[in-house]
Amino acid sequence: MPDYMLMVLENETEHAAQSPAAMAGLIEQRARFVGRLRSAGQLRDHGRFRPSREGKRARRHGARLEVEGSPFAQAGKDGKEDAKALGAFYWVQAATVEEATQLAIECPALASDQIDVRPVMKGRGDPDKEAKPGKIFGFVVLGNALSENQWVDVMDRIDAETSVNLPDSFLGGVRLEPPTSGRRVETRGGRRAMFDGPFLESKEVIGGLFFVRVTSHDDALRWFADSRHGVHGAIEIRELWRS
Amino acid sequence: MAELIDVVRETVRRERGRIVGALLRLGGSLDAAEEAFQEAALSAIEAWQDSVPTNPGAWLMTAAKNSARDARRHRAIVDAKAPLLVEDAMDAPENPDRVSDDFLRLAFTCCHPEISRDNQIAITLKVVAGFETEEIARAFACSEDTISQRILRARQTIEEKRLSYATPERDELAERVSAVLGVVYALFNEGHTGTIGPLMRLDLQAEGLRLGRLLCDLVPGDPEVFGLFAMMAFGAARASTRVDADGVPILLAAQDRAAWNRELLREGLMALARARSIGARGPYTLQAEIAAAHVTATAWEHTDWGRIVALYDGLSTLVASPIVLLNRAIAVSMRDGPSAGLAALAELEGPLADYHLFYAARADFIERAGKDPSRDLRKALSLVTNQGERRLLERRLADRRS
Repeated sequence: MPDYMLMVLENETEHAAQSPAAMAGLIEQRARFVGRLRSAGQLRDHGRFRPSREGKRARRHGARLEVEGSPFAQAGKDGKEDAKALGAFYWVQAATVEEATQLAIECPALASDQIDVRPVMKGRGDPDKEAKPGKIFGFVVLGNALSENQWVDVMDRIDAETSVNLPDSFLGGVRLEPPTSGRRVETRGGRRAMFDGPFLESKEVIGGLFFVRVTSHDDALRWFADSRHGVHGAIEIRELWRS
Repeated sequence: MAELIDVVRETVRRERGRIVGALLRLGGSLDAAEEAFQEAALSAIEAWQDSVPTNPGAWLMTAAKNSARDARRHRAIVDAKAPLLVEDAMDAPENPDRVSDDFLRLAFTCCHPEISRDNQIAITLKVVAGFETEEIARAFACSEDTISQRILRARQTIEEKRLSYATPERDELAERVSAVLGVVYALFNEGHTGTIGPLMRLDLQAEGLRLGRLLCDLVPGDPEVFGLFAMMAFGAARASTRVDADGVPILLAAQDRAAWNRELLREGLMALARARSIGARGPYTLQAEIAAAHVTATAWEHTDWGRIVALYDGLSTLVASPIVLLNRAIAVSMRDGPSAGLAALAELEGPLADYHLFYAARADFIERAGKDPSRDLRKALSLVTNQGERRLLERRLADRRS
């Protein structure tokens, strides 16, 4: 069965304003969702990101690494009231993109959450990822490719770079198919369904995700600075909750 | 300069545990390791005047290793500038496995079962957390002499029994982690409800949380590490609402739930979810579950007492403690009424005859049953040592009289 990434994009202000009971409720529902996926043999990995204001967005300009503010704050500054940040991901197996989209519709979320469903081009996981010491950081690769050919080209280069000299701290990741092959699930008028997609946006979109185990935010940035990633766009560096 | 000292202090506090642990790994005594670390911290103030290194932790580690090596070689003053020569090589990220091993080596040494609990706490605060003896004395409302003695005795035990050389076998690892959790819990608890003096000492509470958070990173496979952290996070989230302006405790029923720290609550809930997903519920996780049942109730009146009684039932099978049974009795009284609470207390007066909260709880049940609780309130007053709790009891007694 092909692999899909369900990526939950969250309005963090809405999440932070939840009552403790509602927070606990969502955490429990998502744990049950994970349990269902796992017992159906459909779960490859999942994770939940810590608040994006703790994270960093970095971009290369030649040899220089420019660290921008947190992704969510940036989006807020751009005047987007409904700015969303990546909050969780579920790496699932499903027969078709429609079945994956159905899983996204069933995924517990707030009405303000948006879930993007994206086919995985290729990926590899680390089954012991959660058992090892350190902090786990997700590196969200943001690509800015205008055409599908450019997209494939960018992804090929990232792929070539991650396949050599992988350090111990590398915990695997995925490379996604172009956004045109994806779907988007949202809640409108109290109903959660697929409203958009296939979609292609001209702004930077998520091209892949990979995971690294280090001891601090500074080390995550250091790891990134030493690697050859991010030459094609920006990278969001976000710590994951242990789950 | 003031800023630089803050940077050094922050780095020193953050890096101390794993660097001293690394020096232990490289050989030598705990005393020598601490001394080398101290040297490195002092040299940092000098060497960072112009610019703070890009990786201050790695700088300190190298400086401390150089100090330790030089001290062994010459038993003399070290050249504080030497570490700068290798700074370029120190920019690589730390290996998390190594950091975990080094920190745990030190924590296991200070919390070794051969050392008594009071001495474990004192030396952990001194060596792992980097508190001054005077600060520890203030936090525990004892004399500096007492704390110095405890630290000295712990050091002697470590040296005599060569505790820092013994790496635990895999099968005793959980037990050794549990000893560390016990110390972290004790110091958080002392910060949360002091036995003497003011009700809360936020510095101890903050240190407990910091160490708990660190242990979650370093021992991610042990559910009780996350259970303990969740329990502490729930407690700390309520900190600002637990006492009034006069330092008198505000009971959970009357606390302003809207003022609880949502961020800490979320952190606690996420840690609890992790604990649930990786193993059977141990004592810390069960206590975290009980705290979670409280913090997720939308109001005191909506507390799920049935669930809380069941959790206490589970906890009492794991921990044979009359205090757990006392707390269970309070939950029973809320679920089934004050006479059920009194019945649940019946067996406990013997073991808890010196515990003020036993009489405070019984006074509450008696009062709710419409009778006069003065005798139990007076008994509780005669036993209480914490000033805030004393004033609460005095208030309750005065309210009876008016």
